Amino acid sequence: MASPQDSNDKNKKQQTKTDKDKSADQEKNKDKNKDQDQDKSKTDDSGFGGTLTTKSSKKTTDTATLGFKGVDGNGYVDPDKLKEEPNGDDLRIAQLMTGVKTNTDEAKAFVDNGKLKSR
Amino acid sequence: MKNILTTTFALVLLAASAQAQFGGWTGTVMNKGAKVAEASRPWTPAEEQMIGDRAAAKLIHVFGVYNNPDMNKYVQMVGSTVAQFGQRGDVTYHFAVLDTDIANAFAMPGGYVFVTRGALRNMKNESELAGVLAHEVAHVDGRHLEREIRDKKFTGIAVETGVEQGTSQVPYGSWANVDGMLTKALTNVFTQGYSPAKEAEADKQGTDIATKAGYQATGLRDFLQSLSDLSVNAATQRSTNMFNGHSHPSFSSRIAKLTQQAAGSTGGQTLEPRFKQNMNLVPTAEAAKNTQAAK
Repeated sequence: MASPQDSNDKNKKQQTKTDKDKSADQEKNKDKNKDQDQDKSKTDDSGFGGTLTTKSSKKTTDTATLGFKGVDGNGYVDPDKLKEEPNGDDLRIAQLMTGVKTNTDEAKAFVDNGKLKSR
Repeated sequence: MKNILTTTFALVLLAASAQAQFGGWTGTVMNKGAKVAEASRPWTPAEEQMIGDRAAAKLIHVFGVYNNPDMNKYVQMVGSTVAQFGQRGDVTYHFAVLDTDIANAFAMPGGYVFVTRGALRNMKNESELAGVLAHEVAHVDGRHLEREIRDKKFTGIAVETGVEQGTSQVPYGSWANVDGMLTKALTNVFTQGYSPAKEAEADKQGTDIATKAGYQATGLRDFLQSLSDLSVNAATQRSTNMFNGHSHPSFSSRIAKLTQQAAGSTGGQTLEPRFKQNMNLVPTAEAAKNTQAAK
């Protein structure tokens, strides 16, 4: 049977260990958050801000390309650009579009707010 | 005569056997007759999705997606609201804003719908946006791009080379073939537009869809009026020049038809305050120049 002193020592040791674990976990989380932030900034490049169902789609700085992108001086689609094959980023953004799901509650609130109709 | 019948019968058997053995676009040993039949048949849902993914990526490659999550989300919300009243239950719709000042909207197979930043800038309220998105939903409902591709024989490339290359499950044999076909089809749509019949169908159907969703029936008409105004102003016509070579009806005839259609409908929402609240578009140098010129 362990004495109260032993038990206290054990508790202290456990506490120290827990503190160590905590700080290690915090470090890990810091790294994880950093990674997540990096991932998020990658996703934000798409213009969708990740999943649109979450509240994380805070306003980001607009990065609109100035002017008539994709068209020539007369406003016609640039035929050379159109002939090019889409690259990995283009395909990734198209995939992100398909991943965007409208949250049912949010959609209902949107319809109600505008006095619109649902099917 | 007997020879012809025998040959035809053999061709049918061969085609059926290749279909049964390989399925879809993946046959490696198919005669030209079977290839023609294969290239002109309607797309399966999986093929429509794969071709749509590629077509959407191509549009994204040309124009880019507007990097504004809130704006894309708002367009998605309006689009989803109208898309519920579309005719096809087998398509999930995806909406996004393209990063260009030209004023237009595009629908791609598989439910991809794009509206441009330039179009949004020239809208006055949410019913106009709903009308435009519903018009594009109607193009997807009617499988207009797919029909355009098959009717205009843009699949010819696959007939000549595609199916023989037979790479796994890729439609028309390879992505290079799909890209070639889409380049032809999109060039055609961008320079000539859809046929007058398809455009009129999308106008009518789109207005019906938007009205069923509770929007004012004049949304699409009012936006077309704005495009018409832009097209006659030297300072702004560049944003609508894409419509110049189009074989589809002129703005005035479309506006007249839509006015007639809307006459039978009363009420409906315009939601101008909500639209303005959501339109935090960056004023571009081009737009500023246009505003100056218009003054």
